[in-house]
Amino acid sequence: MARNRYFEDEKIDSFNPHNIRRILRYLKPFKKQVLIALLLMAMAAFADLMGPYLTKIAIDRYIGEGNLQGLLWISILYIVLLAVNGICIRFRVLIMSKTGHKVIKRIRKDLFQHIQKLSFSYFDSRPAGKIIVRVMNNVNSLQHLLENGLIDIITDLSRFLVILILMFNLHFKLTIYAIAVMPILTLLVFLMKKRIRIGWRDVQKKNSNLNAYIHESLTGMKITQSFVREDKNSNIFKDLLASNRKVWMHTVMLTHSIWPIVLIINTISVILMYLAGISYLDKGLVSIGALVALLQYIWRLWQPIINISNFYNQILVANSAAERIFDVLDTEPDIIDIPNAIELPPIEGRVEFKDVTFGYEEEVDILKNLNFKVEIGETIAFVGATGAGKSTIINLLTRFYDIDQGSVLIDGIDIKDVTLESLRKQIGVMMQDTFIFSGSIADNIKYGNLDASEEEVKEAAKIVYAHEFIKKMEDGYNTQVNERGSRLSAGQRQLISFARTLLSDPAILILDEATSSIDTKTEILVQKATDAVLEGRTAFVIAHRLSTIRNADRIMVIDNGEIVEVGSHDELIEQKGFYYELYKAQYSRVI
Amino acid sequence: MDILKKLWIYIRRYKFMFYGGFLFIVLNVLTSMIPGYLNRRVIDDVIRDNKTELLLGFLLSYMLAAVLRSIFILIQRYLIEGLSQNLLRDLKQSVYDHLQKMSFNFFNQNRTGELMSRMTGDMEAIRVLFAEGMIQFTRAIFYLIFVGIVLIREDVQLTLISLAVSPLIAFFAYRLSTRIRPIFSKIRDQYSDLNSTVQENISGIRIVKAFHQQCYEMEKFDEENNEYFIRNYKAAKTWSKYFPIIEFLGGVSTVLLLYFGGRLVISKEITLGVWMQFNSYLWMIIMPMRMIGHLVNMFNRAVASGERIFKVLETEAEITNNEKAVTLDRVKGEVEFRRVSLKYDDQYILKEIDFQAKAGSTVAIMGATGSGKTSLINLIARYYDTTKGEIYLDGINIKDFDLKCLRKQISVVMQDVFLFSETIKSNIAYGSPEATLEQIKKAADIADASKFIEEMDDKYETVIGERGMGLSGGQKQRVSLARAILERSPILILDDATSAVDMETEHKIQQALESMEHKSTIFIIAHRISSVRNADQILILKDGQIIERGRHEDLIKKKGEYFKMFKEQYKELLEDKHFKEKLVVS
Repeated sequence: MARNRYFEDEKIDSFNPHNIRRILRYLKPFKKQVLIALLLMAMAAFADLMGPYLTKIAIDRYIGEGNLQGLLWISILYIVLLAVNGICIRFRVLIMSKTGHKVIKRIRKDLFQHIQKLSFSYFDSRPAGKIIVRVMNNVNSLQHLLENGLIDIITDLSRFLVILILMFNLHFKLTIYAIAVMPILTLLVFLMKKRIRIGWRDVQKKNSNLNAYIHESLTGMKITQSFVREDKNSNIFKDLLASNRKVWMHTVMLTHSIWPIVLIINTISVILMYLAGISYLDKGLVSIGALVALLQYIWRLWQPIINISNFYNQILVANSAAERIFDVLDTEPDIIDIPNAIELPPIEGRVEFKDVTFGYEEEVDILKNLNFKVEIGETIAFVGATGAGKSTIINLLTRFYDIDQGSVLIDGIDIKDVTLESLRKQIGVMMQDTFIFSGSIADNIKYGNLDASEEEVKEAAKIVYAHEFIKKMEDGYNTQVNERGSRLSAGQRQLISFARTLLSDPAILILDEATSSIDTKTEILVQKATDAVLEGRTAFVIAHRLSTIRNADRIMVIDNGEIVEVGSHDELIEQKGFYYELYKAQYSRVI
Repeated sequence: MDILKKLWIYIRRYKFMFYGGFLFIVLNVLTSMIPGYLNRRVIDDVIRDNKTELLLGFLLSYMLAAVLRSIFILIQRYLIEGLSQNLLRDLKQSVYDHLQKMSFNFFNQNRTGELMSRMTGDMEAIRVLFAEGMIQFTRAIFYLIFVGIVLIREDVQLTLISLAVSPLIAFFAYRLSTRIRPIFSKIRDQYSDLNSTVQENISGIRIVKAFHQQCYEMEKFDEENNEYFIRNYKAAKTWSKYFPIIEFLGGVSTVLLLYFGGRLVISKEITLGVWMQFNSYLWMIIMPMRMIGHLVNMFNRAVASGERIFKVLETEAEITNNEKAVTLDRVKGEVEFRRVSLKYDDQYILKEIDFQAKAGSTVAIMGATGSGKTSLINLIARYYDTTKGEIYLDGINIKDFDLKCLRKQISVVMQDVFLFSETIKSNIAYGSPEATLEQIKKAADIADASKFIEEMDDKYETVIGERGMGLSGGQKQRVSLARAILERSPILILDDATSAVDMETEHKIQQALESMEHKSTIFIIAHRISSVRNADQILILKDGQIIERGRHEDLIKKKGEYFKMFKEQYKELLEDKHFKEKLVVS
C-alpha cells in the first residue's frame, strides 16, 4: 500500500465542471434567497449603469443648451438611483453571506460526518495533516464562490448585455468598432486559462505538502530535539518553502498578466472608436454626449470581462478544493452496516473465528485460516512474538478491518450482519495507542460512557488505581490535559484509558498491551480489581509479561498468523512446547 | 504599528524589491493618468477646435501609455509578489526554526492545531496585506497626491465641491474597520478552535471508533462549526451596514461634479474637455476611498495575525545555551545527579535525587506509575531544567554544555513512540541522515528489527504511516530503538522501550546491547525484574524520591520494596509446581 508522505503530491483527477455543479447543488435549498439576491443585484446594476446615460442626456440636452433646471433634475434622479443601488447591495450582501456561510457549514459538516464513517485503512494510508487541510482549508476556499462568486458572475454577464444594449442604442456602428477586438481578448484569455488552472492546482498541492510537513514536525518535535535533527529539518523546510514560492510566483504572474492584456486591447477599442467617432461627429452622425457616454461604457464593458476571468480563477480554486472535498466524500467507507443489519442482542460472550484469513495489504496474509472458539466468561490470552498477528486478531473482532475470508461470530451471529454501533458499544477495547483528548481527566474517562455520573467515573478510576494520582493533581478530576496527554506519564495515560474502557461496561473486554507501561505492583492490583468486575465476561488479553497471562483460562500462542499452541498455563507447560520454552527462558533469567 | 515595525525587519532584507515595487506602483499611477488627459485634449483640441491633425499623435500616445502601463504593472506585480513571498518564506522559516528551539513544556501547553493556524491562516493574512494591501494603499496615496494637484490647478472650487463628501467616505470606512476588527479576530479564534477540534478528532479517530462516539464527536464539531458560521455572519452584517453607505457617497461625488461641473461648462468657465478630465480623475480618488474599508480590514486581519505570530516568535525558549557553553566531541558518559528536585505546577515531581553513574554502567530505574521515572531521565538531556540541584556529565554541569552538543551525546527511546511518515530507513537514520545502509541494518539488527523489516515488501524502503501506522506496537518500539542505537551515543536512555516487545525478543535485544563494541552508559526504565536485574545500579523511585538503590542481589537481600516487587512478579513462578524444585531463592 503506497502511503502518502509530505513531499509526495496527492494525485487528483483533472478539472471537472461536475465538481462545481455538485457544490452548487448545496445551494438548492436556498433557491429563494439566491433569486432574491439576483433580483436585488439586477436592480443595483441597472441603477449603476444608468450613470453614463444620464451624463449623455446632461451634456447633449442641458449643458449644450444651458438648461440649469434640467441639469438639477437629472442630478437628483441620479442620486435616487444611487440610493437604490446602495439599498440593494446591502440586502444582497446580507442574504448571500448568510446563504454562503450556511452552505459552507453544511459542506464541512457533511465532510466531517463522512470522515467519521471511514475505516481504519483510510487513516492508515495518509497523514492526518492532509485530512485536516481538506476539512478546514479546502472548504474555506469555497467560501468566496458561494458567498459572492456565483451572484457576481450572473450579474456581470447581465451587466455585459445591458451595457451592449445601451451602447448599441447610443450608436450602432461605433459600438461595432468598440467591440471589434473582443474576440482577440477572449481567445487570449482562453489560451491562458489552462495554464493558470494548472498553476493554481500546483500551488494547492505544494501548500498541502508544506502543511503536512509542518504538522508532522510539530507532533514529532520531541524526537527531533532529542536526535538534534533541527538543522536538517530546517533545511528540508527551507526547500519546501522554496519550491512553494517558485510555483506561486509562476502562477501568480500568469494570473496578473490578464489585466495588462485587457488594458491594451481596451485601448485599441478606444482608439478605434475615436477614429470613427470623430469622423461621424464631423458629419453630425453622433453627438458629443453620446461619444462621451460610449467612452465611459467601454470601460464598464471590459470590467465584467475582467471579472469573468477573475471568476474563472475563482472557479479553478474552488474546483481543486471541491475535488479534494469530493475525493473524501466519494471514498466509500469499506466497513459499513449491511443493508438490513440487525442490532446485536446483548452479548453473552461466545466468540468464534471460522477459517479467518486476513491481510492489511493484498497478497500479504497476516492471518491464515484461523479457527478458534471462546466460551462465555473465558479469558483468552494471546502470546507470541511482536508482529505475529495478536493485535490483528482483536482488530477483526470489532470490525476495525474486515476479513478477507471466513467469518467471525459472536454468540453465533456473524459480526458482518450486525450494526457497527451495537457491536462496538458492547466490546471494550483498550488499544496500544492511548489517545487522550483535550479536556478534563473526567471527560476523558467519561468518553467510554457519556452518561456516566461523577461517582461512576471515580469508581472506574478506583478500579484501575488511577484515582490515587488523579486525586493528587491540582484540580483532581477536573485537571485539564491535552491532545496526546503530554502532562501525563505513559502509565497514567494507560490507566485513564483503562478506566475509560471499563466505564463503557463492555460485554467483551479486549486489552491490547493495556498495562505495558504500568509497574507490576499496580498492574497486579489492577488485575485483581478488574478480575472481579469482569467476572462472567469474555476477555481477550495481549501481554508480554507472563505474570499477566498466566491466569488466563486459555492461552493461545500465535506465530506467523497461526495458532500453534492452545491450553491453560499448566497444560502448555506440560506440553513442553513453545510456551514452555518462553516461560523457562523467563524463569532462568530471573533466578 | 508595532507589528509593522517587526515585519519591517524582515522586509528590510529586500529593500530593492520594496522600493522598486514602490517606484513601479507610482509609475503605474502616473501612466494611468495619461488617458484622462488625452481625452480632454481630444475633446477640446480635436473636436471643439477642429485640429484633426493632432488626433493621430494623441491616439499613438494612448497606445504608448497603455503599453508602458502594462509593463509597469507586470514589473510592479513581480516585485511586490516576490517581496511578499520572500517575507512569507522568511517568516515561516523563522517561526519553524523558533518552534524547534522551544522546550517540551511549550508543546505540552500549546495545542498543535493552534500552532498550525499560526503557520497557515495567520501567515496568509500577512501575505495578503503585503501582496494586495501594499499595492492598493500606495496607489491610493499617490492618486490622492497627483490627481489632487492636477485638479486643484484646473479649478480649486470644483475640486473642493466634488471631493466634499470624501471625508465622509473616509469616516464610514474607518467606522467600518473599527467595528469589524474585533469580529474578525473572533472569527480567527473560532477558526483555531474548529481546527483543533477537527485535528483532535482525526488524530484520535481510532479511539472515537472503538467507543463508537461518532455522535458525540459530531456534537462537539457542530457546536464549533455553528459558532464559526455565526461569527462570519456577524461580520457580514456589519459589512452590509457600512459598505453601501460608502458606495453611495462615492456616487454622490460624481453627481456633485455632474451638476456643478455642468454649471461651469455652461458659464464657459471650464471647457467640456476639462470637465471630462475631472470626471475620469475623480474616480481615481473615489475608487481608493471606497477601498479604504477593504484595506483597513485587510490591515486589521494582518495585524491580528501578526500579533499571534510574533507572540510565538517572542516566546523565549525556556531552555537555552549558557553564554560560555562548552562543546565536547564525545563525553565518557559519567552522569551525576546532585540533590536534584523538579517542580511542576507547584508540585514536586522529584525530590533531592542524588546518584552517580559511572561511564559505561547501566542504571535501572523502577517505580510505580507517576513516581517520576520519566521526569528523571528527561532532565539528563535537558528536556526540562531542574528546579533545584545540578546534573553533571563527565564532571561538567550540563547547563554549561552547548545544548545541541549535550543532546548529541544522549540517545533516547521514548515511552511514546513517534515515527515519521517516511521510509523505515529514514526513520532509523533520523538522527544521522548520512548513515550508510550497512550501519542502519546493524542498528536494526541490535534492536531485533531487521527480521520483520526484511520481510516487508520494500524492506528498508517501506513507507510507514504517520505515527508508525501499519506497524505493531512492538515493531514501532524496535524501529525507534534502532533509531537510538544508530547514534552510538555515550549515553543511551531506554524509557520503557521494550514494553510492547515480547520477553524473548527483549532478552535478545538486551544481549545485543551489551555486546555492542562501544560501551554506553545506559539508563533503563522498566517494570520487569528481568529487564533490570543485570544493571550495575537499580534505583527505586517512590513519589519522586529514591527509596532504595543497589544491585539486584543487594536489593533482594535487603528485602525492601524491590524484593516485594520481585516476589509479586515471580510469586507464581516461585510457587509453580513445574519449577519449584529447581529454584534456589537467594
